[in-house]
Amino acid sequence: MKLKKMMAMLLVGATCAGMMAGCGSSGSSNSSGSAESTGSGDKGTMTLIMSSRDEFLSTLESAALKAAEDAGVKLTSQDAQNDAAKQIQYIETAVNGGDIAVIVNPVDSDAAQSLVDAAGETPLVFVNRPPSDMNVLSAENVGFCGSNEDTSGYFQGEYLAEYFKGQGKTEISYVLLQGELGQVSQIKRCAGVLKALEDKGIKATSVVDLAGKYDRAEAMNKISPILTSGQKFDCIISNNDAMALGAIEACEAANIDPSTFPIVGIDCTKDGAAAVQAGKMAMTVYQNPLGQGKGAVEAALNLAAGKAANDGTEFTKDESGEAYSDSIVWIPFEPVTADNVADYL
Amino acid sequence: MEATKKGFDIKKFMSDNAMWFVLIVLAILLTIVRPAFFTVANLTTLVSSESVKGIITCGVCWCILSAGIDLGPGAVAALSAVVSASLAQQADLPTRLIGLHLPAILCIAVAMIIGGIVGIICGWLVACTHIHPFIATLGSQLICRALAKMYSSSPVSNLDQSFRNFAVFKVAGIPMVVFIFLIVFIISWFMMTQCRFGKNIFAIGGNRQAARVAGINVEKNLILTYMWCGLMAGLAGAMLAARTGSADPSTNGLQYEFDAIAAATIGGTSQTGGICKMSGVMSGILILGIINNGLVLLGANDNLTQVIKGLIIVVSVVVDMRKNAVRT
Repeated sequence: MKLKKMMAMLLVGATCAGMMAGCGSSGSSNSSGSAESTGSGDKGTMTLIMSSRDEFLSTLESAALKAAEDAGVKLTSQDAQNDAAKQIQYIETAVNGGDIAVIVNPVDSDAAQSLVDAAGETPLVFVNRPPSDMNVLSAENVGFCGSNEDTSGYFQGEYLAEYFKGQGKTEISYVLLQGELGQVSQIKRCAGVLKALEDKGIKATSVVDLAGKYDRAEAMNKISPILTSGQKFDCIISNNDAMALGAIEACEAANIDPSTFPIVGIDCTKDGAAAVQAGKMAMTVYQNPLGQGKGAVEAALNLAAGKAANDGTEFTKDESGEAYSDSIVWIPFEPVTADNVADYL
Repeated sequence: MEATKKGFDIKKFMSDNAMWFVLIVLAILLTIVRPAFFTVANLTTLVSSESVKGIITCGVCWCILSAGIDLGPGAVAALSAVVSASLAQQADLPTRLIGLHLPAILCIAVAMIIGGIVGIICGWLVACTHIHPFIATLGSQLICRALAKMYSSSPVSNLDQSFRNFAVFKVAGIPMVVFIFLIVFIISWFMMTQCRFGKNIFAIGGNRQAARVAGINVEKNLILTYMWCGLMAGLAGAMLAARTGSADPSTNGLQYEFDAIAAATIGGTSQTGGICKMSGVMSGILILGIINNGLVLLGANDNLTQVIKGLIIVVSVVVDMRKNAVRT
């Protein structure tokens, strides 16, 4: 009797799991499997190793798969699930399997050299996250395709400087919503926005720096006390859109109109763009996952053909004049405001 | 031993409610430093910020009471959040994740059913296969988080206002999510103190063999415990989506189970099972709330918040263990 009951429960569970999986595949373009591949493989095979699969990286992944298909290369993608050791394993497997190139979205940018070592002679392209020591790119078979994080925050700062100069203000106070503390993107985005404000002659002081962990609910919880206790500030600067949207929710819960002062984000997610259009968020910065995916595949093909990574690219070349400049393909960030948001919806 | 002396009762009262005194002291200190802390507006903010985690804590404390643990609630909340949010998206939205649109109350019911089913499976694993609850629920955590990401790779937003009202609609200036948390808390308190079920779990947590010998159906009661915890996690997920207006499969509910375990532990729930008081659990929830809220008002670094949280958890457990050791 008891056994029957247990069996019934197990079956219910299994059915449920089945239902979930079914819903998953009927959803929008997602990537539930651990490995996916496209392309005929006429021109060889390549492997793309993702650090993980969030909304942004999944879009990047699909763009890379599509670019490879168009180029006639068989591209297999793997998810290292934020495990740096697993990433090295995948690279070694790819090299042993005779891949013409490997594209990697590094889990740990500090460990870039060990990834290069694992690849040996095989061309290796870093995508999205640059190595923390850019000199790694000096090796002939190594390239990088991504966006310059120094500029994303800078766009926010430029926008805010314009906005406040229009009001005749040169001294402002801000609330800063930071991403996961210590991540490269968090550090660079914070530094970028403050540098831009300084460059444009605005004296900005922090009311409080809050750690919102890139999460909407966390940002909402963290900023609510500031709003309800009536502290004065001129703008809210957020390291990403999710936290900016959390701040907007918190404002509305506290009966404060979010359109009366600028709230700025980064990422230009679907919801972020909609908030800019609705006038609740002042601006966001678009990071182009499609460009990064496509650019990385092109750079890998270039390296495999013995050319420089940025050879004939439609994207931006590096102009710093360093030894590794030709290994870099920059995909520019784009500021998005009410004026041009229609292009991003 | 000294039960006849009058002073003993005060001492016992003090030690039983030590965390409430800590809470009051913290609140007074904060009010002195930052008067903005003790305002109706800020206290409402504090409680509504902690409500979602509070709902989860009302479930997790039962698992701990039964000498188990549940590591799943955060991920279960994320899964039920994305599923219920996808059902509650505005009907005329062109980018709806799935075609089906349900009335708000049914969306919340679906969220709770998902949580309940996960809970039943975990409970069955714990009770009938005798694998350690830590392992069983670690499995459910990983599976539910992955299922949530499979269900939707991006945040699900543009939710019906009728659904959102379950969390954000204000009665007398207080958001609904707070009332829902209080209702859940009262139900949990009632079950623990007034129902046979509560007594059974106390017995199972204290000594499983003795409970079995005393004629308690251990398996059934354990499954019900984890089911209750799952139901609460599911409800919390729906509330999370309703409150923030969006359900994000990768960041929703991240580490909420640890905050819930921390709150229950600070509130005097014993990790070895058999000891738990709902009033203590409430003090734990509020102490974490005061720390989160107060340190923001003081403009403290987030890392400092984590250090203080960690210290309070460890110290409260040490105090608790000493207290219990003295008594036995």
